[in-house]
Amino acid sequence: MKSCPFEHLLVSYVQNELSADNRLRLRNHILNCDHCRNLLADFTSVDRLLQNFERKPIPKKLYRTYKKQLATLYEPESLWKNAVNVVRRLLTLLSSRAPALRVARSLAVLLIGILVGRYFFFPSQTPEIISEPRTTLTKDDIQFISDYVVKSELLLLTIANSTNDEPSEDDIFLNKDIAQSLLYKTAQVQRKAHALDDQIIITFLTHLELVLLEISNREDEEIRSSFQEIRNMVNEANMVQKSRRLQRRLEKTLSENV
Amino acid sequence: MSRLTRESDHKLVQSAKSGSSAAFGKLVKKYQQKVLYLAFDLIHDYEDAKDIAQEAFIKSFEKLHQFEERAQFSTWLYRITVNLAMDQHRRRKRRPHDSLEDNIREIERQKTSEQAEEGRRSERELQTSAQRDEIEKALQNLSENQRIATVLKYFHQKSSKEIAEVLGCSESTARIHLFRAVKNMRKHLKGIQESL
Ligand SMILES: [Zn+2]
Repeated sequence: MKSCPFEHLLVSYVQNELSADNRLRLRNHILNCDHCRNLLADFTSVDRLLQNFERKPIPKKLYRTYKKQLATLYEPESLWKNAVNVVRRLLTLLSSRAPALRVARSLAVLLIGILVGRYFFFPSQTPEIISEPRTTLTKDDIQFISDYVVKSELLLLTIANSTNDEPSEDDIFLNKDIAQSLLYKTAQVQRKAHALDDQIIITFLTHLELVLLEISNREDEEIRSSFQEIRNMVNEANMVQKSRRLQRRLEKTLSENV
Repeated sequence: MSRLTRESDHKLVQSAKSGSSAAFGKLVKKYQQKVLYLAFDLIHDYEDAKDIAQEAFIKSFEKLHQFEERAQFSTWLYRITVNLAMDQHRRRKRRPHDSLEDNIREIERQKTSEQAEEGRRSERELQTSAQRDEIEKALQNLSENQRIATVLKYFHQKSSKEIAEVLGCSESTARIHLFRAVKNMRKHLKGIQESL
């Protein structure tokens, strides 16, 4: 089939990267050009396939070795060699619940609380919105966001409800698995949320990403020792309630769309 | 990317430049997963991807003082990663035995080792796994720049402007790469779309 001088704009059109003017102009052209109309249909479906593409997660063992090797870049070598022993000693100290250590721990938690508070109460620092003009989301897109939020509640609940200072082995693996799988989808969900232009979702996702990063970037031993920080973060930002409220909003949006 | 992230990256880069290894550590932790995935997306081999990602961080560590922050730190880091991955890809192409077929065989091999995991997945997810293989094959057929542009756009949510910065080309050239990529992939993927 022959080509059309405007066809190279179609991908940008599908991806919402044209200015409002050009978008309108191209739309008028498409109405009168069979060639572009056919291409547009194809491009839209390729775009959708690629957007929903999920790659295989990286093997855990390889990822762990990778992170350990990278750590030697920013951790002094002598420290690194002793790190395992230090962590082990710290853990025994922690479990012995020595009073002095508990005070130090509370102080650290307090400090982190202040930092987290400052982060969460910073006004008007909203993520940048790239897509303009906005796409209308399909039912599938909203379902995708909704599934993500439901899964996030599971994670947030296990964190918020745990009463121990240290999570059990099972909790760690469960949390880490969920966090990693959620983190992997975060960018995709964020993009869709921007298209929805819903500030509540966008803010929630920003906070959630922070929690996910905390959990999934840590070694198992580290999660154990910093679990309280993570829990404070979740509780102070009321994330479980927010996740539930969001789910209701999304359900409503879905039922309105039907 | 949020303004908050960008600002904190800027601060971390500044501290790292003035010698704080903790600040550099934070940058590493923040991007280690993304960089590893990017390397894997480009060369489809876990071990090689791991080496490239590590090399990228080492390089960024060594060259940090030259980084003038005209682009974001993440874009700069991605550019380093992409260049290393492409060098490796070209080297591999020159070795006769490491062909595309080897890559596909490698993917097949990993698939069998993951069968236990697959068993737990739902039907819908298994369907996407067949789709995934097709998309991966279609990606392998693209030219270098087209593949980089597609990977950055769809798997790393980069804008055309950022893609242009990574590739060192103009924004409109980046868009042309994406256009050609989608146009080429459409032929390859037409079959699976119809079967869905
Ligand atoms: Zn036309």
